[in-house]
Amino acid sequence: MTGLFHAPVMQNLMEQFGKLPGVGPKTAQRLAFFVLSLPKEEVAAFAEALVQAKETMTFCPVCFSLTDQTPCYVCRDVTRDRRTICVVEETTDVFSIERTRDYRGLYHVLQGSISPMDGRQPEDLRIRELLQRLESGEVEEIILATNPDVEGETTALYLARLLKPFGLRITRIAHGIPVGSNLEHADAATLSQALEGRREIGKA
Amino acid sequence: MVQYKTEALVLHSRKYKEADGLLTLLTRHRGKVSAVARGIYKPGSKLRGGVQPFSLNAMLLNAGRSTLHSLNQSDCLEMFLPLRSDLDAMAAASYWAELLESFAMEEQEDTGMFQLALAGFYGLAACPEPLMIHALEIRLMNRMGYAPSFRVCAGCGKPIEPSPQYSFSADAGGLVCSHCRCEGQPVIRLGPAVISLWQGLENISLDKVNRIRPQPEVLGRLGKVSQAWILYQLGRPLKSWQVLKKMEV
Ligand SMILES: [Zn+2]
Ligand SMILES: [Zn+2]
Repeated sequence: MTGLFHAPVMQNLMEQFGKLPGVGPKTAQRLAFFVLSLPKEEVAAFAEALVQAKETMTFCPVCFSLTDQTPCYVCRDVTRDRRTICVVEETTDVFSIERTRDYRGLYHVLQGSISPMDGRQPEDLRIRELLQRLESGEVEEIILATNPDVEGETTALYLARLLKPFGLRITRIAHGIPVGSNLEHADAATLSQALEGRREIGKA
Repeated sequence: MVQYKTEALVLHSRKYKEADGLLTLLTRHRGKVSAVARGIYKPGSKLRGGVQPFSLNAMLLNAGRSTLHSLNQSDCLEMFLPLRSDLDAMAAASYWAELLESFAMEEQEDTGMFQLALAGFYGLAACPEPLMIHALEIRLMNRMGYAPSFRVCAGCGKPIEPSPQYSFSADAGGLVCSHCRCEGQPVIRLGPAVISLWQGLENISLDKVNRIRPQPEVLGRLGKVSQAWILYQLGRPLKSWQVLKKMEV
């Protein structure tokens, strides 16, 4: 081993990279050495970007998505349809739906999902805050857009039951066959849900 | 590396690294197995359809030197769709899966346990009721050799005299007589109806469980006894049980 491997600053840098998702010790080492090869100004800009993002981004007090504005861009946009709230697990889901440009309503980010086996319960999510948003009486439809896995389904079923007394229209996003894929490769659960979520076609 | 084929129930799945899944399986031939399913969170993964929690699959696995096996192939045999479309059923299935995960032995063939696990998921899909859950709890405890003592005192071994009220102590191992019941020892009071319900659930075939119609307070008492009993055997509370209680709307 050369002295370089024992340099505490390098050890520290590798440890920091190692905290990133999907980064193992080898990649952490490569990234650390890559940073050293960059010009000083670029490294400074990189570090600055990290700190700035962390300092600026907060949770929107209305919908709880990550944002640099309070309230966030969607919540403050007067052209959005305030009668519909789309409930998602994470801010990244908001980005995904926004990319479609098809949805004009508001969002609510739960910041997680219910997972009985991992001990994640309703009170760990932003459910109370969702109920508070319904008090104004403006909302008419809740779209449950949690993931189609066990945790997401449990969360959707729980919310559907919880929201029932409010008398709103409660919908669940359809799951089915991915666009461009093949029926032959779809599993039974996906196919069965795709059939359940079928709709009429060819009507003028 | 040894490759083997087995039927497996997925008890638990969590994300591992970026796109892999870490599965807890109950297999027909090797007991409880931990396995990594690579790339299941990538779009178009062929494995994903065969690794959903509470599903029965035909799996091809690799056993290496570590206790973590890896999944090569999986075909779903039974999805238990009713468990996925109802909150109570989903909650009950989560609880059953956690019970199995907590009690099943690692890498030890136990076909009886596998059959009970499978029958349990079928039972809950047909009838996700507290009575079914208790029937499964009781059978699982009996299989593990943890049947509580109802006929003789768990303290002194003398026969329990017929009485309208008994005292159950999980620490002692079942019913305790008035001599063995020491001051301050936590006991659950229960009547004979609770014991007959417990014994009835030990033997009744699971597809007939919904024919039993116990008094609500008898059922509630039985639930208290079985919770105390499981908590004592396991030494820790089950996570899903606590979440289930919170989800009652
Ligand atoms: Zn917002
Ligand atoms: Zn005694």
